[in-house]
Amino acid sequence: MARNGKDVLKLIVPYLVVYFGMAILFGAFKDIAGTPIAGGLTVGLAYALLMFPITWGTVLLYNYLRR
Amino acid sequence: MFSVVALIMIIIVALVTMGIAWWSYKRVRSIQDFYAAGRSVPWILIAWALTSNYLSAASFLGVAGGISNFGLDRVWDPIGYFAGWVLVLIVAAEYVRKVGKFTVADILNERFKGAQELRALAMIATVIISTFYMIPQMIGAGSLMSLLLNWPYPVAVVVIGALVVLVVMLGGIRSTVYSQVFQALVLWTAMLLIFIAYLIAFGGPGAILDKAYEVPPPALATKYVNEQLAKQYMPDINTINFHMALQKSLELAKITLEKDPELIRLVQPGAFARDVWNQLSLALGIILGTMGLPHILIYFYTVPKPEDARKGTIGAIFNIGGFYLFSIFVGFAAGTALFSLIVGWLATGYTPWAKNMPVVMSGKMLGGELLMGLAAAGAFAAILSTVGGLMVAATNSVAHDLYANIIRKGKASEEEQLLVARIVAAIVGTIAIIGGLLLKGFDVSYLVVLAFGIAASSFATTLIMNLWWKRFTRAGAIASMLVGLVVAVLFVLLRLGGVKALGPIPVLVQPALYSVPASFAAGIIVSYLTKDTGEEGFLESIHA
Repeated sequence: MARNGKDVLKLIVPYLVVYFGMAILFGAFKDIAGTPIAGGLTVGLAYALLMFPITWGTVLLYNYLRR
Repeated sequence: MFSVVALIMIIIVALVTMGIAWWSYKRVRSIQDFYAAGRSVPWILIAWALTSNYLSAASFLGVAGGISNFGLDRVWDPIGYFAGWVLVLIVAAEYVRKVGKFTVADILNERFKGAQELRALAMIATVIISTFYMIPQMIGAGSLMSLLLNWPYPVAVVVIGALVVLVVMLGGIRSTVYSQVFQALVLWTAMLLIFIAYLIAFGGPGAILDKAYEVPPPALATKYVNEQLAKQYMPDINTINFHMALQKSLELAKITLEKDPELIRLVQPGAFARDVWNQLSLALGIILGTMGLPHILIYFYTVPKPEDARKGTIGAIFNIGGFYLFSIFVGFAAGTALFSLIVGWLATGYTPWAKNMPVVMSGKMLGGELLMGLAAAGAFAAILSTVGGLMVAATNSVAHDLYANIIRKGKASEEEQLLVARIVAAIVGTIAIIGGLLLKGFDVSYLVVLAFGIAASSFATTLIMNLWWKRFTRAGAIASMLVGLVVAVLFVLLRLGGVKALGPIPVLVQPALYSVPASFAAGIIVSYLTKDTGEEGFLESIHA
């Protein structure tokens, strides 16, 4: 599990899409990123905060597959 | 600003660090102890050592400081620096431990035996990356200690430089790793406590963000607030308390927003955002650069088994993520509660204070001298740990790659190698101190961007192909490293020279968008044109 290049790509490509998606959101869609969702929480900030569980989840999934 | 409590806490950090270094010195009996801590460090300790190795003062003071000054636009930076670790884990960590010995060059030489040109190139890249990363740390260290303790700048640079040199000379990576574990606990705890104190003061994370929506970024507000008005609302830093500071801040924010109701708020991006191409280049440079940093990669040699490298990296990812998450909230909370103070500092020309002191001032406001002292100790620990890691990486590479392998061709005795490594540590440290003294006042933070760019386009690209591509050849490795290095340095020099474009190609904030594809292309093309794919069964053995 998760030992060859293809397995690794299956894990890392979705993560990179989310990561570069955030870079594009902050670079090209500032108005969308600044839209409030609730109170002081905006779209950009929600995305930024979601990156933490997404990253930790990816890491734990990788560790599970590597065992 | 001088604080006896802060000074005492900083002295405690320095003394414990020296104690650990002395303890390690007694245990360095071989060159493997000096270069790789005897490959005996438990993964949980490596997780903490990697944490403080990576989190410099720029992370400890700069991330929350940046968000409190510029708002949501600066949140992207810690996310990028955090996300880079996923590649370190999946592409590099345990594979580096499987094939490497002491330096990054060893990883390449394990596949391409006797490739001295590759070793020399890797050594040059390591020294460039480490130096470019280390000098801004030294300049930052001098400036911060001047701010925190009123130390004269040269004294701060020499004291910090000498302390780190001693740690590295005494125990090499062994003393550096163990002292970094202690330093990580100091800086991580300091940020956690400030975060918790803000949660209690505001009444939860949602309340922090709600209040942050009532203030614009201070750096933007200065266009609407003159010096006189700013001074009226600046709290006294000696008697500052949370409720008084927040009240003054919200009042000044209201006046500012009355002048321009459309002004963006602290939790909205836009005023200080990069365009999409600069953003993409930075994203690429950071995510690949992290896995190409030699002072990160060599730490994987210190654990007993490859799976320990994986576990240690996972631990570091949780620690670093937690730290950045706390920092983001501390940044928004400080930008809100200390809004009038930061605007006042910016309006009265105290810009370094505005950018670097919000974390320390938050400590003072929320927990008095004690929490401020801990914050100052955290900043000091962050400086020591990162400079230590960089110094070890440069020392190992020059002593092991250049002296032991290229000059002495592997014939130097262990005693000779140990002596040379300690001399090299002293030389590297002296260069860092001199660099810090000579470049005082220069804004060289861009050198860190260059370090990430070079790491991304030389080590990261070459290591990915070396560890994962069967068709990769010796000539391909040289080409990918050389081309990545040259293109990255070229675009950074153009940027530093103020050149906006090279023909139709714009010069971006980070060279990676050009140098990374160039490095990959060179490696792939040259590999298809040449045949020497290195040791038979290399990839099979590491992926088995």
